[in-house]
Amino acid sequence: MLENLTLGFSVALSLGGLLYCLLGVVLGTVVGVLPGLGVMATLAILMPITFHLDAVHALIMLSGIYYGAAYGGSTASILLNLPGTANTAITCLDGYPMAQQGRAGVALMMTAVASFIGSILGLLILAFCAPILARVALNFGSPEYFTLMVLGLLAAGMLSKGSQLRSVAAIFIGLFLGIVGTDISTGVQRFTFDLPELYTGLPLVAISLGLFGLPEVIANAGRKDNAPQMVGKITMRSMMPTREDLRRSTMPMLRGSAIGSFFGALPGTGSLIASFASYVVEKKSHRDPSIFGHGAIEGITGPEAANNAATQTAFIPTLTLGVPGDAIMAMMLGVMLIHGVAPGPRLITEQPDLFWGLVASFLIGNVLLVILNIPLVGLWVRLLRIPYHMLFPAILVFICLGVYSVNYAVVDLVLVMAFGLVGYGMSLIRLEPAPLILGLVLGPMMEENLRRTLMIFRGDLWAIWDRPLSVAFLACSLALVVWSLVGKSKAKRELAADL
Amino acid sequence: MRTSLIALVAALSAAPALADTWPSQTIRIVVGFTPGGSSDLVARLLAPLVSEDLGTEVIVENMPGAASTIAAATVAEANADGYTFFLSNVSANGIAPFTYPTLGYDPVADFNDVTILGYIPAVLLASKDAPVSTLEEFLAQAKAEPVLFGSGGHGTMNHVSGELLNMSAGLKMEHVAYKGSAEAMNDLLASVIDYQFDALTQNIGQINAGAIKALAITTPERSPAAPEIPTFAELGLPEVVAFNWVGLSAPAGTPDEIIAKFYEATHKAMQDAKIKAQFTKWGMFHVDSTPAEAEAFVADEVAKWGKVVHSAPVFN
Repeated sequence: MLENLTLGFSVALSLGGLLYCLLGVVLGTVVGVLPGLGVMATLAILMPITFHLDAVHALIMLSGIYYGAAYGGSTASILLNLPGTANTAITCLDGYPMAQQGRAGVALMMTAVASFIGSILGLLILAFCAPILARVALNFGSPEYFTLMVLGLLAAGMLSKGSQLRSVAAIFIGLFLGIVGTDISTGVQRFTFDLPELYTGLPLVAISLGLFGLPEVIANAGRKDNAPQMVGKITMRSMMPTREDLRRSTMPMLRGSAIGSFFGALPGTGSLIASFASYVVEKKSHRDPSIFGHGAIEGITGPEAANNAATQTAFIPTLTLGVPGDAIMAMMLGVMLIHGVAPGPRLITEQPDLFWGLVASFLIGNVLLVILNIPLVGLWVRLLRIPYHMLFPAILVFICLGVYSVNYAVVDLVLVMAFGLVGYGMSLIRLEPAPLILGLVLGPMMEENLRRTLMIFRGDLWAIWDRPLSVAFLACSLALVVWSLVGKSKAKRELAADL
Repeated sequence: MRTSLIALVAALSAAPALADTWPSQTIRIVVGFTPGGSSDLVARLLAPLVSEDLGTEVIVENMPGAASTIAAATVAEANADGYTFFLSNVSANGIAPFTYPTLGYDPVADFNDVTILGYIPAVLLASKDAPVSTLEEFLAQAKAEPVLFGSGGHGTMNHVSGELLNMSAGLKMEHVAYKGSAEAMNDLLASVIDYQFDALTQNIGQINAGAIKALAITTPERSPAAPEIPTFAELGLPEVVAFNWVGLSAPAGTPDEIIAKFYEATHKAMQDAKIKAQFTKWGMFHVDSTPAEAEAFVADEVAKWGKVVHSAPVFN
């Protein structure tokens, strides 16, 4: 182990290793802070450049952008109620109310701390438990994915600021939108209106930027008062959390790191689901769930730790199995292939300098990110401290650029505008976009996995009982439902007692 | 405004004049996949070398979606002036014509093919728990009982390779579609499904580690990257030949002189040691065919996949 770490640091601490690490995390922070400019688009633009670098340097830089964006993403979520990246969408729910209460500095400080703790714990798991976790993830097939997604959607049903009925409604809208596209088993086109751009389904980036990004722009367009809603100056003093903040955040950060490490290591799930799951766990396990959505510090520190832990453990299946967990990891895999690195079970033993060099550079990168995000946060805030009449047109441009740069499809621009209007309408009737997005993402995945499970089991769904992991997920789902119902009636009783 | 004026002038001037001055502006190679895939990387490796040879800028433009048919349709409609090329491939130019309801182009009539650069073979893979370890045992099992095989998606090269095996060996394997090869591999590694068709490249590591078994490869000769895997042909199924190929094509009507010049440039680039080394690493066969060979090859592919698709119940 010591030998491996020495090797790793010798790679990561070389001039090139440090330089590309710094470049990556700075770019990542900028990309994360600015809403609409996505990690995917940035990686895509930079990939050709990395062909001229060493494999290790290329991966160090691109990884830095990826996990750096997970830090920066929360800044816009807190200050503007606009997620800088999709993975930090959940941070809006409590981060923005905190900013409105004049506690933006504390929120920024605590998300940076939570991000660091999540990353370091995730990194430890990447370094020490990679083989074990890889073996667990390796046992996942379609039945396991399907049951896991049942659990995910049930959890989403409870994830709402307002009524569960509204969030269930939003999930169903998401599920219906998920029907659009080519039927995976037969190739039949469903609701694609002969638009080839819709053959692969509604584009997630366009829909989420439309639902999360545009309504804010529309809502603010009519306002006379043109000053940004970011309140107060972000000084080091205003960033100091109280003892109470630290005490309340400790457990959520640890739980969030654990949840994030788990979901990150699973291929197919990732930071987004990890941050959602962490939020649900914090909200449901808190003795007073009603404080969530009104600036509860647990609601930002848990999910931030979770999504950062997930960005670290996401490398486990990619590096040890050659199975990318999400689109970003698929791009990383592409970079590895062009450099002749074949990710697989033997990567760690055959190319220890690459694996341990990455691990060591992640450690250095996370320390750099803390420096970038705590003492230098004012710099990033200034990026956002631009008057609305300048900021929002710029955001519109960023949104359009970001959306267009993913698929280079004009249809996506039309969709982002249409869903911006839908999102504004939804905000008027207080329908949350987050469960809709989860329904849209999980719906098609669930459908595919269920249909495959049925094909593999020859139509006999009861065969699922032979898969212990699936049974465990179903049992968890049941427990979650029971817990939610019991918790609800208990809350009602308490309310009655108060009256 | 200025570009449209240039386009107008270019269109009005006679073809020989066009060929004489070519190339005088930026050439774009339109790739129908997202950046980072092996097809995209072929184009990105090639572009700087061709650019150096022709003395003009060569850019790679990604236009992903719908199995690269969106990009193909765009290039089919582009000006035939030698400044737009399509990274042709088995999906858009071989299979999609039979599996997509509306396409907007004809893979033979709407393109002048420049070259076939290379191809990646497909492999029939078995899970480590599958009851067979050779193609012979597999064929016996598939004839005796219903067998499922997975691939990275309905209508992909790997899927139709399975249908080709069905047709040639008289099997009735049923296809299980996944969203991508990586997802299909999850199930194969977990032994949820026993068989899968997938590209050789990304699986060499798993095969060598014994996590999955390779039964046969779809190329006429064995792959230098994995010489221990037998071909379907040597095991008595010479018809089961399938390539995941990439090439370059221009819109129909592009002057022959330009096609020939562009081919010369790609031919030179293909001799580059870096490209050769990269192809070997990927398990990609180095083809580098002439325009005439490429035209004939694409026509053959269209005929072959048409026959396979029409024979498979899942498409009809």
